Order: sequence, then structure tokens, then C-alpha cells
Amino acid sequence: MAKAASVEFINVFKRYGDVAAVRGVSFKVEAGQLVTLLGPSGCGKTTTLRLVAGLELASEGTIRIGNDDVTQLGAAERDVSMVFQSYALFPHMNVLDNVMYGPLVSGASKKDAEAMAAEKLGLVGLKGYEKRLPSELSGGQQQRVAVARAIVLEPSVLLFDEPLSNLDAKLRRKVRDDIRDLQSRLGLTVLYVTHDQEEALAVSDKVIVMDNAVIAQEGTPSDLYERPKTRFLADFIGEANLIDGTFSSNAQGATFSAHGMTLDLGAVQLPEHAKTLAFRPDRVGIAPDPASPLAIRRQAYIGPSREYVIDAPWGELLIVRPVREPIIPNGTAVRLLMEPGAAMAIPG
Amino acid sequence: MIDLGAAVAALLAFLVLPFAFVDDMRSGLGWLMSGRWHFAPSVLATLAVGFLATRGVATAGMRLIVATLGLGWMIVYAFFGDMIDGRKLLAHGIGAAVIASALVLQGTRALATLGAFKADRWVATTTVTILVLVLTFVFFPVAKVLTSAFVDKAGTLDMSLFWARLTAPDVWGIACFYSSSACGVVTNTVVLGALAGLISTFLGLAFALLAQRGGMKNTRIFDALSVLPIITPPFVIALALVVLFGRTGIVTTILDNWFNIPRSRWIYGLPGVLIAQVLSQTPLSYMILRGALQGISPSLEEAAQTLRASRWVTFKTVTWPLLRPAIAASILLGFVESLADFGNPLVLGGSFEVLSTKIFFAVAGAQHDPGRAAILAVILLALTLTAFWMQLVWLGKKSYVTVTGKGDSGQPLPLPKGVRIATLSVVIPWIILTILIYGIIVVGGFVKDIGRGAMTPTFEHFHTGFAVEWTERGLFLAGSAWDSFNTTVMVSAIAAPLTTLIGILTAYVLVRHDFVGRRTFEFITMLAFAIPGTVIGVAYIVAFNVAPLELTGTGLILIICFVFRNMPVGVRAGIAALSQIDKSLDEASTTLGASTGTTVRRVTLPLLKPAIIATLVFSFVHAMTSVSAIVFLVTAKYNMATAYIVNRVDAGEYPLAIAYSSLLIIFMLIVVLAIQFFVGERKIGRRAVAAPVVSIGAS
Repeated sequence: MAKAASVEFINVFKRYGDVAAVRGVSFKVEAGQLVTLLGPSGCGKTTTLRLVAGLELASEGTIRIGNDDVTQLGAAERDVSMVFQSYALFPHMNVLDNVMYGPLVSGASKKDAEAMAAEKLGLVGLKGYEKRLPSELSGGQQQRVAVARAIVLEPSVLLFDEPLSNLDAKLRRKVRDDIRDLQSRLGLTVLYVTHDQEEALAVSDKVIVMDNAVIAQEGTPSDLYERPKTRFLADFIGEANLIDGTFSSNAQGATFSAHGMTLDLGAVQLPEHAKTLAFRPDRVGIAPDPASPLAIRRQAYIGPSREYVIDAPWGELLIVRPVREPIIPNGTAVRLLMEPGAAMAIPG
Repeated sequence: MIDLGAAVAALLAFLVLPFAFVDDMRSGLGWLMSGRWHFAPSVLATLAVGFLATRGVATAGMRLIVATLGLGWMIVYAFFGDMIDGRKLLAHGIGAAVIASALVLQGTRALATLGAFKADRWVATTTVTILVLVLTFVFFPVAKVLTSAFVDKAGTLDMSLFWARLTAPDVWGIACFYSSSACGVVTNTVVLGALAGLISTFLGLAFALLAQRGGMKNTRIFDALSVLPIITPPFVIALALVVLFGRTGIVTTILDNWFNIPRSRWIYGLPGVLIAQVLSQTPLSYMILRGALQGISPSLEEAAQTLRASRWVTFKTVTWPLLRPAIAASILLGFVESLADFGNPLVLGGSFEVLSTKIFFAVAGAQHDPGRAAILAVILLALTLTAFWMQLVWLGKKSYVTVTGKGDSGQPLPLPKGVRIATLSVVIPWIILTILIYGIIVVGGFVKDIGRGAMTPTFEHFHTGFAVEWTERGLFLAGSAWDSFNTTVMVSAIAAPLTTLIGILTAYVLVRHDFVGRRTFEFITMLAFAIPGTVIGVAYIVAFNVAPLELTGTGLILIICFVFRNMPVGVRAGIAALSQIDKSLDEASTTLGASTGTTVRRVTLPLLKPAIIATLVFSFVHAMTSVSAIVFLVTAKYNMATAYIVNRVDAGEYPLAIAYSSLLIIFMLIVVLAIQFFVGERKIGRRAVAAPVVSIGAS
């Protein structure tokens, strides 16, 4: 499958009447990469995916697949396949007929189509299930048939629309790894929609976070987790404590003050108009300090770590510490100990 | 290629096919040579478009203009040609139809090329074709009726005449409520409709509750009873009622002999018509309400019970409110069906007049006053549309049906004891009456004269109607009913597949494709649902009796009438089936490179098979049994079974009418069973419920 192609959006809009589902979106997926579109429901990620498939046509802007402008092409004319959230297996055809469908309707002979289908069914580990009807398969098997059907034409781009949402938690992890495996083995270009941030971080070369019909931020999983650009992103990807206040910088680094309390942040890059301090619950230590206005309200033991909920003048904080650290009893006044690089300054 | 092909077909039609319909076999060319050149421009237009189409996409705008002009000219000349060249209007025929179709096809394809219908030519062609057909065969005739209500017999506009006809006392009078004189026809119709809707819903509810919650092991008899009215011609029940309760009827005679209850004619009038209508409507109500009861998830009731609600309180606070929309729907349907019913009031009405019969007599009777028929048709149409509108507004947002696709465990709540006894005491007598009625129909054909109590067994009636003789020239169908029977079977057999095709395609376009004007298209096809048969009958006479579409007296008009009468059923069945099939199946097919046509053929149609079969069966059976519209359209040459039977009833030949009816019922039973046997059900999932893959869907 050497023909994996890149996908490029240039200032694409999709409007339904007065409402824009996608507003001025530009991004590029390199050939052979797995890129996820992540965002809360209604953010425009599925519409973006359908724009790539050609199931929706852009109201404005340009869409390229490889070197070709496909903006005006319908789904049947694009070299793109899709794995649907509901799998969309044809219930009146058996597994083999489902997978053969693509080659058959594109004019392949029955024999060729069968050979192509058999190969892909082997690839997803469903040899021996050819004669079953979709309704006679488990959810995980149905999902694999859907994948086999989508890759049978060796498309330049493969799309996944929330492929794991109908599977249970254990299976989800395995199928996620299988998809990533298949993608890197065959060198496929994959665009993958999900609303699950953990799933997105785990499988992607690059994550594009959408919010409210625009791209909020794109980057590698670690970029997004460690350097969120907005309050929304800090909160949406992973857990974060968010405090509004003022930043100031000096020779040693930066400090942050809010509600009469000052924190040393160490060396940290301050963006312009920095207004909110964000930090992950597991990147900050706590130590008893009777002078501090912060006090532990309650705690919970969750196996590998201990979660503290701390009362603060602006609300509450969540701090997660490894269980090997000594227990600090409820009611103790504590101060925060920033680990180097833990503080993230976010513009207001 | 297709555009060019259409042009060639149009040219051939122009050269060869008879242009006019009835007596004159001249082709378009023939007319041209005798000096009538007006058809040539349209043919030239198709040729021009066909040529332009070979020049690529850029010519689409030009093509649209040329095709529109060609078609526009054709329409203008067809309707106003007499004003243009002073000659008589022509009844357009097959040649004209081919040319017009070519222009529509070409124009639509050009329109799609310009970006309309999301640039999907298949959808564009299908939609516009259906639209043109519905406009021609539903809206054009109805509009013509509407206008004819405003003119006098000479054809000039006369508002005062319209007003006088509209406000005539025999239309709106309510005198029967406070005196012994008769009410107006509208009052009669509305009162009858309301009673029929209420009573049949009440009975249907009793049946549904008993079947679904009554703890009955076997509800087959309910289902069997509910199929009967579908294959029973509408007036047959009225006939049986006369035989039972008429002045010389069986029950009347027994009551007279044994209990000295004097014979009377009470069955003729409101009571008789009402009983007949309720008998045929109750099964439909039963099916609606049973469906609604099945749709109520048992877990809702279990939830109420865990919150300490008693059986009765649960029924009152959970089950009943969830049922209410279905009950309203059933009442409205009963009302509308009663309004549209023609056979029962004709047989049993006596001096009790309703709109549908009065319209018929205004056209067919001695008074022959089409203007009056038109105004009554307008009133009937307005009443029906109001009921549909109410249903739309009132029920539009109130559907509680909970089809989740998830398996729902839990047991439905059994009926409270009092309710159970009450329903049983209603249902059992009703079943007895139904069995009695069908018993009459079965027996009636084989005895001398069941209506007068003459019970000597005889084959005389079947002999009169369906005698078959061997002559030296082979089999000879000597019976007097054979002609109408054969015509009926033929017309129904031609109409059924056409109905199904148009109905299912319409549903497909409506559910699966979004385009500018879809709402309007939906509205127009839905509106066609609402027009009562009697109105259509009158409308067809008014509209298709004259050029340019002179169709009355042909077999074609019967077929057309059935196709557009029954098309809504196909649309409904199709919409219901399609909304169970997730759209992503279509999209999956498209992303795998299939064109819309291929997707329809390989994915959608196979999944729609049950709906298609249901529509085929229904439209065939309905064509065989319907009376209201075709009673206006039959002729001596093309007579239909139902019209023939109605005439026998009119002549007092009840036994022959009953014999013929029972034969019809048996014939249809055989056909329905045969279709089911040969087509069968295709296995889609091993589970009895729809495969979950199909129903998950919503993303």
C-alpha cells in the first residue's frame, strides 16, 4: 500500500443555513500519519471527517488529497474509505459479500474481488467467518469486518468515526492498539475522530483539537498535554487545576500571585497577557505549613496514588501524590511545592 | 449519452407514434404535413439539448433554458392552442407524452449539472419525474374541481352561484337535532365521522389491551380478524348487515317471530352506516393501538411499580398518557376514513345523506350538476385536510414511541381486573358479530336468497356470474361477471407494481436525500394522502374528460387512478422502513465507490424488500376492492368488479352481489398467500428483532 496520500484543508467552511459547523479550518495530515480529530460533541470534528470523505461538500475553501484538489468531488469519486461509528455493515450480506462490495461495485471480477476480500479478512484475523451474517458476530468482530471492508480498496486515506464507541472498556484498549498496528504496518494515512482524550493521546502522531467549529490547537500528544494554549485545552485534555491571578518575572524565574498568596514557578515561559496558572494534579507536591490558607478537606486512596481535595480561597484544588509518601491528615494546612516545569501559564 | 438518447426517442415519437390519443392516428409529422406545425418546436428543442449535451458541462445553463422553453411551449399550446390558432384542442397521446418526458428528463439533468439536487442526476430525475406525475394526476384535477365550483354550467365565473350553492340549507342544516326534519349533508358527515372515529378507537383499544396485556395465550384470532377488512370490499359489510338486520333480515325475522319485536328499517340510515364503518375501522384502530402498546417499554411501568404505584395507578399515570397520541391518531384516522367511505353509505344510507354519496348522485344521478358536485367535493376536501392538519399540529411533537434497538427485558403489566372484564364484555360480542357477518358472506352466495330467508342451497348465483362453457371455439366465459372480474384483475395487476415503484422511490428520495425544495416536495406528496376517493373521482371526470388530457373511458385512467390513490401507502411504508435503516449504510456504499443508482439497487432495495412486498400486496388488494373513485370512471367496456357489485345491489340482486364478493375475497386471499409463499421472508439476522447493526445508527 504505497499510495497513502496526504490530506490538506485550506480555510474550509461548512455552513448549514446560518450555522457554520466548520469555520475556516486549515490543517495538513502527512502521508502515512495517524491524526486524530478530538473535541467535545458538536465541535465540528465529525463534519470535518465527512468533508474528507466527500459525504459533505465544503461551502468554501479547498480540500486536497495528495496533489489533487478534491473539493468538488463526491464520496464515490474520492479514494477515501471510512469505518463508521455504527460500522454500517450491510445486514443482508454475509461477511465476505460485505468486504467484496467495494471491489465489485468498482468493476473488479468476482474472483479478484473475492481474493482481495479474503486477504483483508486474514489481515484482521477473521478467516473462517466469511459466511456469517453481521448479526451473528460480536461487536468486536463486526468492527474488524468494517475495517477489512474499508481497507479492501487500499484507499489513499482511511477515516475512522469514533470506531471504539460501541465496544466495552477492555476491548476498546485492544482494538485501539490493533488499529494503530495495522496503520503503521500498512503505512496508511488515517484520520480518526474521537471525543475520548485518552484514546487520542494514545494512538496519534498528531492531535487536532476542535472546539466550536474551529481548531483550538494542534500538535503531538505531549505538546497538547504539556503546553495547552487555552484554558479550554488545559481543562479538556487531562485533569488540570486552574487559578486566575497575576504573573511577574524576575531574574530567577517567574512568580504567580493570587488571593494574597505567592507561588515560585521556577523557570517558565510566560506568554503575553498570561492570566491563568494551570498545573496537573500529579506535578505538584504538598507539605504541612500552618501559615498557608490552603487546607486538606478530604482524601481518597485509589491504588497507585492518593487524591487530596484541598480547600483554597478561590475554590478547590486536586492534588495526586504517590501512595509511598506519608499520609497528611484531613484539616492540615499545606503549601504547594511546584515541580520544575509543572507550571503552565495561559493567556486570559 | 442519455440526453442524446432522449432526443432520438423524441424524434422517433414525433415521426412514428400517434400524437393524439383517441381516434386520429396521425403522428406529429402527419400533423405537420397537414399544416399543424406547433409540435415541431418542442422536438427541435429536445434535439438541440441532446446536441448541446455532447458539448460538456458548460452548456448546462443553455440546455435548461431550451428544454424549459420547449416544454413550456408544449403546455401552452396544449391548453390554449385554440386561442392561438383557432383550432380545436387536441387530446394529446403517446407521441406527445414521449416528447414531454424527454424534455423533462433533459431539463432535470441540466438542472442537476448546474448544482441543484446536490448535483445528483439520479435524484434529480427521480424527484422531478414524480413531481410532474403527482402534479398532473393529483393536483391538476383537484385544482380543476376547485375552479369548477366557481363557475356556472356555461363556464363563466359566478360568485353568487358559488355562494348560493355553498350556503344551501341541505348542506349545513342542523335541524335534526331539535326537530324531525333532516340535517344538512355536512352535519351528517361530521357527526358520522366523529362517532365512527370514537367508537372504533374505543373498540380497537379494548382489543389491543386484551391482546397485549390480557394474559391471553393465543391472540391469533385477533390478528386474523384484523386482516379481514383489508381484503373485504368496503360495501360487503353493509350488504351483510342488510341481510341480518334489514326489514326481511334474518335477525329481524327471528326477533319478530320469537319476541314480537316489529320489523323496522332502523338499519337504513345513521345506525347502519355507523355499524358498518366501525366494523371495518376497528381492526385498523386495533393495529395502531397494539403497536403503540408494544412500543411502551415495560421497564417504564416497572419503574412506576417500584415507586409504589398500584397496577391501576400505573395504568392511569404511565400507560394511558403514553397511549394518548396513538389514540388521537386512531380517532382522526377513523374520522377521515368515514369521510372517504362511499360503499357503506350507498348501500345503507337510505335518506341519510353524506358528502361522498351526495357528490356521486350530483354527478351520476338525474340532477346531473357537476358544479354542485364540485362544491361538495371542495367541502369534503376541506374537512379532510382540516383533520390531517390537526393531526400534524397536534401530534407532530408528541410521539413517545421508544424504539431503542436495545433488548428490553421486563414484563408488561397485566390489566387490572375491572378493566379486563370490561374489555372482554365489549370484545366478545363484537367478535361474534364479525363472525356472523363473514358467515353471511360465505353462506349467502350458495343459497337461494339469504336476504329473504330462502335458504335452499344453489349454485345459481355463481352460474349467472361465472359460468364457463366449452364451445367448439374453446373455453367461453359465459358468466355476466367475467368481464368486470378480468378487467379488475388486469388493472390491479398493472397498477400494483407501478404504485410500489413510485411510492418507494418517493420515500427514498424524501428520507435519504436533502435538496433545495425537499420540504415542498414532501408537503405535496403528503397532501395527496388527504384527498378522498370521491373527490378524486369527480376531479378526474372534470379534468380528463376534455383535451388536452382526454382519458375518461379508457382503461388507462383506471390504472392511473389506482396508482395515485395508493401511492401514499407505498410512501408511508417506505418511509417507515427507511427510517429503520441507518443512513450510514448508504454512505458506506458511497465511500466504497458505488454510484447512487448502484447503492439503491444493491443496498437499499434489498433491505426494503418487506416494505416493497407489503406495498405490492396492499396496492393490488386495494385496487381490487376500492369503490369511491372508480365508480365515477368505469364504462361498459372497462367495468370493475366493485362497480358491478354496486350495480347488482342497486338492482336488488343481493345473492349475486354476495356471491361475487365472496369470490373476490377468496381470490385475494389466495393471491396474498401466494405472494408471501413465493417471495418469502429473507433472513437478515438470526434474532427475531431487527439486527442491532441496523438500529444503532444515530451519531
